[in-house]
Formats: sequence, structure tokens, C-alpha cells
Amino acid sequence: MLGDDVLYLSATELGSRLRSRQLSPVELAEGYLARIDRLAPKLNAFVTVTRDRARDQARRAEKEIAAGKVRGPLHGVPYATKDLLAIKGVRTTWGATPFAAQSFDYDATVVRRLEAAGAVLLGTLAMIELAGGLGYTVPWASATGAARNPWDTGKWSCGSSSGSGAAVSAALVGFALGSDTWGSIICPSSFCGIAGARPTFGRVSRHGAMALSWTMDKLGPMARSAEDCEAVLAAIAGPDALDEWSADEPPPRARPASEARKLKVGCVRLDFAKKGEKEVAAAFDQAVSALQGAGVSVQDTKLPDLPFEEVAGLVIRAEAASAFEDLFKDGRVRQMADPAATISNASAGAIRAGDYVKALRIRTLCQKAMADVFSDFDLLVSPAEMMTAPPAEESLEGVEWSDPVGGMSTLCGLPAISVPCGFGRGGLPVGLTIVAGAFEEPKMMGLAKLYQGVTDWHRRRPPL
Amino acid sequence: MSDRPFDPTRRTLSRMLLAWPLGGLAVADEKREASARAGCLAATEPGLSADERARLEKSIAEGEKSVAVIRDFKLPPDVAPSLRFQAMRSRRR
Repeated sequence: MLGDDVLYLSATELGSRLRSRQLSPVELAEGYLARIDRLAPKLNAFVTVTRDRARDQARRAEKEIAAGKVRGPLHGVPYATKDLLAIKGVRTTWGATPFAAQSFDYDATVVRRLEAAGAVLLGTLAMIELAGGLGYTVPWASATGAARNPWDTGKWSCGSSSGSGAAVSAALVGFALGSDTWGSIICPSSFCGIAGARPTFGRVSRHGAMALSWTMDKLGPMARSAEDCEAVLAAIAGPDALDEWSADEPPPRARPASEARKLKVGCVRLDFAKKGEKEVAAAFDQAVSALQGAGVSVQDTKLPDLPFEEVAGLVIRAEAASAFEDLFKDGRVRQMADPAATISNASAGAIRAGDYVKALRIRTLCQKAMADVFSDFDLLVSPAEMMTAPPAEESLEGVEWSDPVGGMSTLCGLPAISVPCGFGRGGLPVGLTIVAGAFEEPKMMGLAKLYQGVTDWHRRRPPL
Repeated sequence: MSDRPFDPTRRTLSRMLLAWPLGGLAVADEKREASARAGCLAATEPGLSADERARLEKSIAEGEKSVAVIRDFKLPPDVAPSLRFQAMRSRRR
């Protein structure tokens, strides 16, 4: 039986041991399956465990590696997907009771690409119902209940990629896939103390993924290091004829961390005077000092004065209302777990057509303004969230959420990563977010790798 | 006294209107209207319980705040909507 020291290795470290045959893909898959059996129920992290598929893929990886046919850095590395991706023959619930029996007869493009990279699929991970597309007010807005935070199981892992955050943090998988429309990769990564990257809009095909907001949805990696995110992104990115929104850009090429010292980084400080936790602000300040100590040029800057958050919110509400209108027509919305779900369509109905078009016009301005910002700076850094994980058993209605940098970057389709940068109240993780210009993931990953080279927050383990 | 001629362009007229106390009244009326609209929309939505109706009214009223920011935002007419949205490259490499 493999010990925690092995299961907590990063995906790239696991891949290296697998390729050098220090580790067997079959043994590694069995090690994670056993850990899933032991810990996944405690965390509400998994929806379906794909044991047979995992064992088949692991055996194939073992044979191929033994024969010298190595597919790449993820060959034989076990992973799981957020439960909104089509996987042939496996139910895909979108985290919602009305879709509990849903299944597809094909694999999503990202699943196919990871299979081609030799990764081993362990199963599907819990999520907020419909990725929060109808809005949500409670952490248990999911067919599987509230996903628990491995750092304190009384706390929430955040949404909507809740199970992905918990499973990576608890070493139930080598890495995971999540989706992010606004904060659904960044927040669980921050709260669970892992690395999570939301790519540029269009960088990763969404073929086979649940649609919530056609102009905002992105799929991305969640893992135990920035280097892992980079490796997974390289495997899943690239044009896809099956997704008309996919960008005609080749997968990003990794840059050495040392090159990040040449980058000009803007620091967006958030106002913690009225909202947020001062411990988060302190951890962020330390992270900026660590970057400066590593030789990176960091200068304070401000976001352009534009209504990023209002526009992002309106676009998502309007598009989600259209994406899920059938649920309201046939009454299945009443099966949803969140009490706010039933009224979300009527609420979105107050948005006029002109409001949506106006929001998209303001978005054009926002994109231009941010393209200008990223002509002055290579990257921006900011706290990923202004707080640490809230309780899993309490309503979120009193939580004062503020996310100007997240609102800006997701609205403009820009890539971002969250990496752990310390601990706040109750010993809960805090995330540092790095935002790049469109299709500039190599710069973003480079700085994240440099930061993780001079800190060890990503090596800490939750007290499970 | 200025010897510049009075130039009643649309911009100067709108500035005058905003500076006029009635402008403030109009804003206050708009806020009341938003809240009344929320109540009206919530009241006419079929098939909701009283609790859901109250939640809907609150949700619409909250939503109206961000909608108001968008409606009030001044844009030149040549700014097109990002209908076919694509992430935009920066000039920096």
C-alpha cells in the first residue's frame, strides 16, 4: 500500500517516478482508489468512482511505459473531472438532482486529450448544482451536499468546483479538472490551498462540457503545484473543431521560472478596511515581499474604473437563464437543492434585451482597457479571495463577497491562477492570484513557479 | 459676465439637467420605480409561495442595482457589443 508521501506528490513528480519505473501506474491507481474509499465520503468530494476504467487505463499505461512508449508527463497519473464533463458510459449529473441519471455516449474533448496523454481517470467530482448557474445561497446547493474542506471539515471547499478543490487538497487524485465562469476554479483553489488555473477564454475546448454562460465558461486544471497546472494545460489546450468558440492557438509552451524575474508585475491591493480578513491581507503582503525578494519587479497599480463586476454578473445571469430555461418550463427546477433556484429565472427576466447588449458593449471597453493595462504590465497579482473558507453548514447570504480582480479577468476572458500563499483565520489557506493578458499563460505559470520555488505553502498538507 | 455665446449642445443641456434639483428628484423617482418594479414583477410571477415571492422581490431589487450601473454607464455609439466574444491580445510580448 502506498503511503501519503507518495500520494501527496505533485502530478509532475508522480509522472517522473512512473516514467522511471520507480512507481507502477497500477499500484498508484489502487493507492488513490483506496484513499478515495477512506476519505471521499468524509469530504463529499466524489460523485462517481470509475474503478474499471481507471484499472484498464492504469494497466495499459503500465504496459506502454514498460515497452518504452511514454506518452508524456501525465502518463499513468490518476485524475478526476468535475461532474459536468461528458464521459462515455458514466453518468454526468451536473451536480443537480434533475440530471442525476444523465449520461452521454461520448467523451468531452478534454477527457479524450487526457486519455491520449495517458492519464488515468478515477471518476467525477462533486460540484455546486449547475455550477451555480442559477445562483446559490448555501454551500449544500448540490445533489451531493456541501463539499468539505480538508483543512477543516466543518468548513466549505468553495464552489463551484467544490469536489475538485477538496480531492486535490486531500490527495485523492493526482490532479483534477474544474470549470470557471466566475471564480469556480480560483475560489476552491484558494480555500483548499492548491493551485488552480483558469485559462484564457477559448484556450481549452468546452466540447462535452455543460454550458452555463457561452461567453464566460472556461475549463482548467486544479493541482498541487503550478508546474502541474502547466503540464495539464499543455495536454488539454489547443484548437478543437468541435467547439466553435475554441481559439486557433497552439497549446502554451512552458517557460523556465527564472524568466519571470524579467517580468513587470502590477500589484492590485484590495480594500480590506470594510470587507475581508486582515490575515488574508497580511498573507498577500508577505507573498508580494517574497516575489520582490526573488528579484521580481512589483509595482502598485489600480484597475481601470469600469463596472467589471456588474457587467460580469449580468452577462452570466442572462446567459444562464437561457441555458437552463427548460428546467423552469417543465418544473424540474423544484428538484434543485438551493432555495434560490426556483426564482432565478424570474429574477433574470427583469433584465431587458437592451441591458444585455449594453453590458456586452461595456465589455468591449473593458477588454480594450485591460489590453492597455497588459501593455504596461506583464502580469497582475492580487489576493485570490478576501477571506478564508466559511462554514459548510451556514447560509452564504450574509457573506460579503467582493471580487473586483476576478470579475475583471473572467469578464475579459483573461487567464488567472491561484497558488497558496499562507494561512488565515483558523489555519485555513489563503491564495495569491496572478492574472495575465490573453494567451499569456506561460508568463503567469512562470511567475507562479518562481513563487513556489521560494516558498513551501504548496507542500503543506491538511490535517486529515 | 461671459461674452461666450450660449451653446445649447446636448452635453451642456444634460449637465444643466443633472445640476438642477429636479435631476436629483428624477433619480429618487427612478429608485422608487426600481423597487416598485421588483414588487410588481414578483407579484405577477405565477406558482410561487409567499416566501419565494419575497425572495424574488429582493433578488430583482438587488439585480436592479447592477442593471442601473449598466444603464447609467455612458458609452459612445461606436462601441460595438462583444457579440462574438474573443479574448484580446495585448501589445506586450
